[in-house]
Amino acid sequence: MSSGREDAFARSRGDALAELRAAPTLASWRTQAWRVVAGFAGTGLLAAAAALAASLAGWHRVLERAPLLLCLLATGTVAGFAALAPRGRLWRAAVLVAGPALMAALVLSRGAGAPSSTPEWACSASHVGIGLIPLAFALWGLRQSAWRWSRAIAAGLGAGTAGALLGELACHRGALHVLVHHVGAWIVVAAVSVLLSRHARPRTFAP
Amino acid sequence: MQRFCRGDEAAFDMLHHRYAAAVLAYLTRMLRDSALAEDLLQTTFLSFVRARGRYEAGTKVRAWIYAIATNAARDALRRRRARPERLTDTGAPPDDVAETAAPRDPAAARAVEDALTRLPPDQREAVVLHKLQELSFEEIAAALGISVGAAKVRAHRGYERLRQLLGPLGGEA
Repeated sequence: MSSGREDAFARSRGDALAELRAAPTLASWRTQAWRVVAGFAGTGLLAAAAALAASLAGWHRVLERAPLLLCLLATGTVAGFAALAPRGRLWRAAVLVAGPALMAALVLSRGAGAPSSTPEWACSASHVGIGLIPLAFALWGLRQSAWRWSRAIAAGLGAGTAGALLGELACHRGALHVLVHHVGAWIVVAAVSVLLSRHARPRTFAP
Repeated sequence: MQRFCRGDEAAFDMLHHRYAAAVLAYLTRMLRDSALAEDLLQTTFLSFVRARGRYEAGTKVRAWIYAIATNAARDALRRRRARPERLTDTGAPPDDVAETAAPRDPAAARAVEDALTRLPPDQREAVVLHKLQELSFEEIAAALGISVGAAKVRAHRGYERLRQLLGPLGGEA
């Protein structure tokens, strides 16, 4: 065995042991996934609470949209697990089906809608802006494993549910607006997730 | 593995002693750059420690560590713009790389190593893990995150391509 190889073995052992001593106990991936899900749901619920407090929506609106709001929370939960689960093929397949289906449901459930004095782009901006907060949690989670496009999209779709929660309560416009300014913004959040996570150096290369 | 996951250093030492040489040989074959392979050995074991919260009971440790090494190698290749070969001026692989091949017939070993680099990356991974690292198809499937059937197909295609590339030597590959 050459000394170069021996040095490589010693280096890899030494670095790994130092890491092990620095953090002898670690959270499981499930704990990490729940943190990411809490980021998605917490941001969305805070934004929704702010909309209620600011009278942008009333409780009747919450009840009216309750099925979709629950679907958004459920999709965010599945997306969080899809992004972090080591063997998450089924989780990720579920998100890749549920995400677009939920987007279609948001659009089709709107109808003609009501006019509004706020500019339409404000909805896009708020949806993307609110989505970027939980996306930071998700990107932290994504760095704990090797990069996969399906994980990154799941994380982006999960982060996008936060803005969608607010949109469902505070925006009263019609289907076309939802398609362009909310679903479009949601897709932008997912795209940002893919781009940022692809260029971030992962902390580990574990599956 | 369970003891290592709880932070036991002796358990880590045992796992490092058991797998480090094989993982380094695998990385050297995949990258054909022994310096980079040594760096990635370090990265692999750092990941192994940092990601132990992602290890699920029942997963074969050998498959899991090869999965980490494979992902690290893919990332390194992507970052250096997929230039997997480090060849000498004569077009041959450097000696430190050729050393990792079977030593009985150096010319044949070198021909096999050269042919391996000409396989598509997914077939190369499957062939190297199966033939040279001696993983089962179940372990290869776990390491590459694919089904057992897909692992067999990749390896089969890789062997077919190797036979074409090696010509008369192909029967020995």
